[in-house]
Amino acid sequence: MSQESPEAAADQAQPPAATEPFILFDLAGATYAVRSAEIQQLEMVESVTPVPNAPAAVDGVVSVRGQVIPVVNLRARFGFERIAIGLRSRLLVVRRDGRTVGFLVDSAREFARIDPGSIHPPPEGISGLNGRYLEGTAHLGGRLVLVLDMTDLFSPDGLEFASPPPAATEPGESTDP
Amino acid sequence: MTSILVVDDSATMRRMVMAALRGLGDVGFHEAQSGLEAIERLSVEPVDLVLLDLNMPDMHGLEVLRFLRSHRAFETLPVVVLTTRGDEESRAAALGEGATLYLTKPFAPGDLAPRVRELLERG
Amino acid sequence: MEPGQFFGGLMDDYFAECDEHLASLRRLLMELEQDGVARPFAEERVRGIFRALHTLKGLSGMVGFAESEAVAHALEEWLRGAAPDGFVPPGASLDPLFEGTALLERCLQARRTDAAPLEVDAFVSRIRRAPPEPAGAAPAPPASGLTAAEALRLEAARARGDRVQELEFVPTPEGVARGVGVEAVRGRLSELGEILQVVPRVLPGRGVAFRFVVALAEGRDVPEGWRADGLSWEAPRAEPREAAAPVPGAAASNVVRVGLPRLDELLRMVGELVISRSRLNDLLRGSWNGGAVPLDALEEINAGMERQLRDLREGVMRVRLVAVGEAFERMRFVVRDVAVGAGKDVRVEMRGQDTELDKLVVERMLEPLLHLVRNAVSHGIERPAEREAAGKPRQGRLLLAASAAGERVRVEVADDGRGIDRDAVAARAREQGLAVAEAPDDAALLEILCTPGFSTREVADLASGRGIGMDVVRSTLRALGGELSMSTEAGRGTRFAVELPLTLMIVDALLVRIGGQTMAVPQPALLEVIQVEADEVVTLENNEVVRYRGKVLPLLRLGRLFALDGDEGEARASFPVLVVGSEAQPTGLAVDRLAGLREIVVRPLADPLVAVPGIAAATELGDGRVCLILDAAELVQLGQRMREAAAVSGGASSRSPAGVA
Repeated sequence: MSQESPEAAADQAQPPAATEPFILFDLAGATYAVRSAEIQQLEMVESVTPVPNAPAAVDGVVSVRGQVIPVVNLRARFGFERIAIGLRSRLLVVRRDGRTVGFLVDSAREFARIDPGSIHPPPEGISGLNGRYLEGTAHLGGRLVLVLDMTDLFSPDGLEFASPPPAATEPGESTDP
Repeated sequence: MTSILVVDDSATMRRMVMAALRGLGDVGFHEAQSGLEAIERLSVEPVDLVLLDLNMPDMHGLEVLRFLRSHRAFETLPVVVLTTRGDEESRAAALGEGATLYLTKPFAPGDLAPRVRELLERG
Repeated sequence: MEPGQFFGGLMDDYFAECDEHLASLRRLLMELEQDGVARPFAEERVRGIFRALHTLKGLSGMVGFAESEAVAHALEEWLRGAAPDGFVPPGASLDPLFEGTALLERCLQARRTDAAPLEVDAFVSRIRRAPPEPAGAAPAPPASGLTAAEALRLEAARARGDRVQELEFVPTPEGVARGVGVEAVRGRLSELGEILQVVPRVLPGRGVAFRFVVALAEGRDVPEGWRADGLSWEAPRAEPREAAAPVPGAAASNVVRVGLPRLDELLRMVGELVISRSRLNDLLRGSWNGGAVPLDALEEINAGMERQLRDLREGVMRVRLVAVGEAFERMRFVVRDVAVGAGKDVRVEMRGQDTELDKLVVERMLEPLLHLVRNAVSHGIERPAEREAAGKPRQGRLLLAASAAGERVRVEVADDGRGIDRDAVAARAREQGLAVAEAPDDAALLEILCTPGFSTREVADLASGRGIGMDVVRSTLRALGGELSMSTEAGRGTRFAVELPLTLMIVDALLVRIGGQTMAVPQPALLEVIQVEADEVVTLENNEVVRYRGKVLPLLRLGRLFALDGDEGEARASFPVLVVGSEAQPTGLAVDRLAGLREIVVRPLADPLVAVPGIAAATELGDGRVCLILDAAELVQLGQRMREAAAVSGGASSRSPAGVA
């Protein structure tokens, strides 16, 4: 939590800003918010077809509206433990730069309006992987909500693709007969 | 090599005619899908015989025939007019405009070649 | 020899061309009916109908389809009687022509599917009796000067104040050889405006000249460059012009008509590849002469060729695109039928007819869309009296629209009828035991309608009941990669929309089980499928191989490659092996089990997140699950690289361990 009161500073710096619609979802005990404009649709998930040797956070592919799209397990992506797909699990289908990708989250059923001006930059404490994806935090009726920036989540950079297992031994490794 | 021009706006019909005439031996085929193209083809290279469909858009086969016969170069060119059964009016008109031969469709595949060969030999 | 046998090789052409002529017939008849027989161009349309019937008659006679020949002939005779001098008297009904066209379509379809030829005697004798039998000739060709239609066009252009350009074209052997012939010139000129007339003229010797009269569109002029092509002209004068003749629609299954511009474009792309390859050649030659191999340049060429191949592939796929307008015309035809039968007055509006879709998609979407159209006319649109009472125009409106958005095309069927009764449907659904919300929204309503077995009086209908319900409509469209959506408003109407992919690839595939997962291998990639006993497998220098047709077949265990452990693994006593690659150098892909042959719709899998070597694409199995499609060629390469890597490392172990990802 920040020490000063950014709300006051924000209010003085800008005129009353319009609120934007956001979709809220739960992941590993925390609530996140993403701009509704980014989300093409919210889908329930039944089964995901695994794609062999895909990056670890990519659970596989699923068919949505006639299109086959990859499913990124957001828990895995953020380093949390996976949970089984259930009735509450949701797929956030996001379209950007001509690509359509689905993000698997624990549940998503809330919509909220947030004033972008009221989003506090991420606290100093959060760094590393998760820090990159946070646009900031916001308060919603006493709840702390983490506002997500989807940009980097689309990139396969930083994700390790598994290479197919070697026929016998790794090249360069000495072999024991 | 004998050169034959097949004129019909139906591509399939042209192919059928050419298939029926394959037995003629050393023959080269030209195709025209309209009366205009037929006239053009005749004007740029020599042709020994023309098979002409009557019922074509833009320029009716009879018009084509009339034009050809009005041109000194094509006065005696053998022209076989192909049209469908029961069209007596057209038959009379075609012969009147100077068709060398009048044949009705559908023709049995084996019937066309001998008649054409006869005309070519005569010419 | 029977005519049918003699011309056997031309049957595809026959059917394709007949489809074109039937499409012309449908369009001309609809235009005549809508615009009226006394209006401009009616004479021209009647002539077009005659020609189409005439050609259908001729072609059918040639291949021995007597019933089609008879129907076409009967229609021709009827029209001759109904339209002496080529004009149809106002008030005359064209119903026999509509009926006959539909009958011809069915005759053709029967022949296409090798069913028994249809009985047409009843129809033929019935219409023979209809109009009186004057000895009218078929519309005679004009002696000279303008035909009635041409005169009409001149009138219209004069009224518009268009400029009239006369040109003369003299064809030459060289010109014709390089593609500048009279038809090409006609094509060019029709881009500049309306061609009023083309008349040949005799020149001394064996030459001819063609005189074109063109009404120029606003701001267009004949480019000076064309003088080099044998055209000559002077300044245009003020004169009117006319609309161009309609072009027949797309052809039928398995045959696609390709426009030359598209082919030219493909040729251009091939040209780029040729250039890339020749640069590659130069580089190699340079390196043979002792120069160093410039890796940067090679990388660049490689990347360039990858892009060029991708473009070429897309270009070839686009050859399969046809305009939806043709399909819309067929739907319009059906609307008329159903409307007449149900006592409704319906006007069909079309938008986006030029929008293009994969030919296969257009064909397979036709039936489901027709179902929606029949529903709209039978149930959606009210009778004229009812509409009037509701303050609506007596004539109902059905909109067929298509629009393209990137890689997808949106097709809509919308009516301005009574809309779907939400409460009635919801109540009926509850009666049938379905869980339904209080006031279902459009999406929920669609769900209910598409539930297998669900039916209300609104949905089931005699006219539209051909055994397919909304559930089949939706699943058929889904199988094409499309998704159905609906919006409806009580009293205002209903709109169905489906989004379809632009191109569609359908292949036969062999389904296989690997480590508990089902995957598909396109059949064209398979040389053979063999069963191998575990003890036949020999390990040679770290590769597993089996004897195969006197050769050694290297094996690639897909379960291991994909790190999928299955219930069955290497413990199996025998397993199937898919032989792929070239006949000279085949590779065997070992799987756990075969799971049947299936026709699958290929869905591209382009996202970099799932760009895994060996997986090319995906498909949907009937239950909605996604099944991956293997890329045999890539797998072979992968196997090759693995073997080479193992050979380089000089791996000594004689049995490959089960790999770990």
